[in-house]
Amino acid sequence: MSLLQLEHVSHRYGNQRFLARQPEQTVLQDVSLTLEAGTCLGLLGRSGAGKSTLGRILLGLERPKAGRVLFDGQDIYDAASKDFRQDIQVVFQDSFAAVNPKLTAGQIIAEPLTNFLRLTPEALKQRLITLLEQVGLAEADLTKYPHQFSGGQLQRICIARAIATNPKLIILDEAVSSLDMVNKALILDLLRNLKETLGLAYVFITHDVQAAQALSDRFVILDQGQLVGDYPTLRSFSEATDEHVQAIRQAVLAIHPRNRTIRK
Amino acid sequence: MKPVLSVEHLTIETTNGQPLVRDISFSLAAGQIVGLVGESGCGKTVTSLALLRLLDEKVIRQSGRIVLDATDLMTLSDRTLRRVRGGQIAFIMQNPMSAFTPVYTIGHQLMETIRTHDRCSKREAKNRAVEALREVNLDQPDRILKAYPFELSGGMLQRVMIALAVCLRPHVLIADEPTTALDVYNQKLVLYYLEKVRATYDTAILLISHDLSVIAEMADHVLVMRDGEIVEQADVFDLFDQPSHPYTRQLLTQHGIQAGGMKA
Amino acid sequence: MNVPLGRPRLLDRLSNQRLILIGCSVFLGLLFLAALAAPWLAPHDPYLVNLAVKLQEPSWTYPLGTDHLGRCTLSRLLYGARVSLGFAVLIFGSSLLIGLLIGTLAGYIGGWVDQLLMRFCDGVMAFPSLILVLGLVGIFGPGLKQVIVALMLVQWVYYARMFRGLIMTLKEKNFIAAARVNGSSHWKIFRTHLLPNILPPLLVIGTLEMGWAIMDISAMSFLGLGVQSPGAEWGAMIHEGKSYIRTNPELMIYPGLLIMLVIASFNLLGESLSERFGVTKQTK
Repeated sequence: MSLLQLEHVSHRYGNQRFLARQPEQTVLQDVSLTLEAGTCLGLLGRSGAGKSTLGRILLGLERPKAGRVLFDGQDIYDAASKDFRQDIQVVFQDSFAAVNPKLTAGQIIAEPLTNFLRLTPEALKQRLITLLEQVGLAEADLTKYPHQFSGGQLQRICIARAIATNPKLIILDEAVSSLDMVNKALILDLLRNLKETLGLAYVFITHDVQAAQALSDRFVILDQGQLVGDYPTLRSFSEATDEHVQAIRQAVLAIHPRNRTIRK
Repeated sequence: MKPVLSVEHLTIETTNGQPLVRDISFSLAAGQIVGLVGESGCGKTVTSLALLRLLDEKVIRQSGRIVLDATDLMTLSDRTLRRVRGGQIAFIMQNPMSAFTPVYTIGHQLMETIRTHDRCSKREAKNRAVEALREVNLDQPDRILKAYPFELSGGMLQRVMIALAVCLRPHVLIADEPTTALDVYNQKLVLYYLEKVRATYDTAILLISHDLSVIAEMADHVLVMRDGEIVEQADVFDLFDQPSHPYTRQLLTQHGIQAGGMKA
Repeated sequence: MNVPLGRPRLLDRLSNQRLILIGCSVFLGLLFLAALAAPWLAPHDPYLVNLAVKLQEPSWTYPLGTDHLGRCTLSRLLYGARVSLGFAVLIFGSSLLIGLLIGTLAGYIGGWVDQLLMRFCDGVMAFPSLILVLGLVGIFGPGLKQVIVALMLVQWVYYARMFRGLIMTLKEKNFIAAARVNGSSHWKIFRTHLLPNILPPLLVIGTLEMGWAIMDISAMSFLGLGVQSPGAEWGAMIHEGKSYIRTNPELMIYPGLLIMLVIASFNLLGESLSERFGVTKQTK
């Protein structure tokens, strides 16, 4: 049984006011995919293709208008299923917007722990320290506020928060897209290590092909709400020649001036 | 090539004596793209704001010469500077949404800016705006002029900014991380139009980015900045193939290039 | 890192923010204390009528003189402060709480709850507030209690709108989504995430609104609808003093000046607070 299964998920927006009808927009159309435990799925596509909506649906934040989301075989939107939130966590793109600016790093990371587990204050503190070490930060950072951290460091705190309850799946919603080159490489390394040591599965939502390739085992492409490509290996993705992969590849900037595409 | 903009020994520090930018010097020639690369916090943005003398002089001390077409900007009055900004030096910022006032239409803001710098009638300003929007391939320019900033995507807004630069034909264009907030598809588009402006009007461009790919694609000459200092200045090919400063080498490695060679 | 952008020089000279903050707080603080301590500070009973000493100049016995009924002006001002300030706090406090409750419900739940509540607010706001208050007082009859209730009923809609807006903006931020993913209940989200982040704008609006509340009470009393004589209240004092405007203008000037100073202080306080909180933004 796969860890995560999407069956014919569709979603629409619109029609929220009863006095002014707004045209409905189809954001996702008949999306089906599976994800095995411990693997990373790269979900590629332009902004507006429906990737973030899919992310919210996977997190249980928005119920799809059609279709089912099965985690460990159970429909996450079925009230009778167990609370899966301990097992599915998230890391967002903008770390500053993803944390309450009035809380300390310790309080931020502790939130899922206090919600889901019953820990004594000492055990909690110990867990926080362990988590900080796992993401490359120090105990002294527990009492600092978000504005005292850089973007890269704050993203590490968000990652610590995400792994706090030993989840099985983490949704990475453009998790490295706001970082500069240096931090992007470092955070991707961290995510890769955590995946291996903790056996995590990721859904890596991104428009950045290179970042996706650095972390993912499988690749799917979303275009205007529909799944238009499914590549089970890195090799099949890099060797693919269909139009969507071409479009993605063409959008990639050169790494060396020798391969310039804009200035000749 | 005679420089259009020449920065000589620019030093910026806070009134408490904390240095932000230390004695940097560089120049831009007509039609040349100079890339300024460095991590976040290294002083890139402070430098760009200093060139336009937009820093708060109560909190910041700025010294050195900024020579634009034989005039030292440091000696100009506020009133004269206002004409220089936009008219001779244009600025494109990272977050296009914050460059526009949310309560006026794009058309209103474009025309107001045009008419501030060149005396012309409303109709003339409108025509120029429409022409400029066409040059960056934004179709239905009339609709765009009537739209409000929030109705357009980040990529489109950046193109509107470039269009504004086209209208005013500045000698120098400072683009501060113009593509960072955009997805890969829009990134390439924006860079493409920047190049078009350069090629058509011989504009000198100072392109600031933390992303070496942007630099690789666009720059003729590169300045590497760290902690407020320019640690290396070189022709783009020389920089990528034979970097001399260890920091440059570190940046290149993290970007994916082994110093001295090239990785696909 | 903060990148400070320059502003036009004139505004800088006018806003020495810290000084204003402290100055206004001190002034208002003292005034509130004086109002609380009125029974001990006031040299005379503010209601004691003594026609023999009416319309006197300031003297040692009567530091600010007496009014047309021989009552001590200073004592009346002090007791008036209790009414003007005290009830302003009451009205403002309760309408703020109601507005917070309704606004949060509308903003957080959204959907038809939001639509219903907001359409109701729209209806109330369609009338100029003073007219509506006058109308309600007309229905209830004149008197302090009635004015207070009327003001409360009218004010909360503005706060509801405001809080709704703030909550809706916050709700979109990812840290709220993260809190839900982390298992926090709605009540916990409100307590830990929403409330602390609304506090700064709340404080700023609060100070500005206090000024308005004082204005409203004084205005009502001046029109003869709020505090009735012999009640001591600044607006009422202006109302009574207006017959003597030629001979003893100070009867109007003292209370009028106080009203102006208090409202100005609240406004300046609000502005400097808003500058202070607004500047805490990070740019990289």
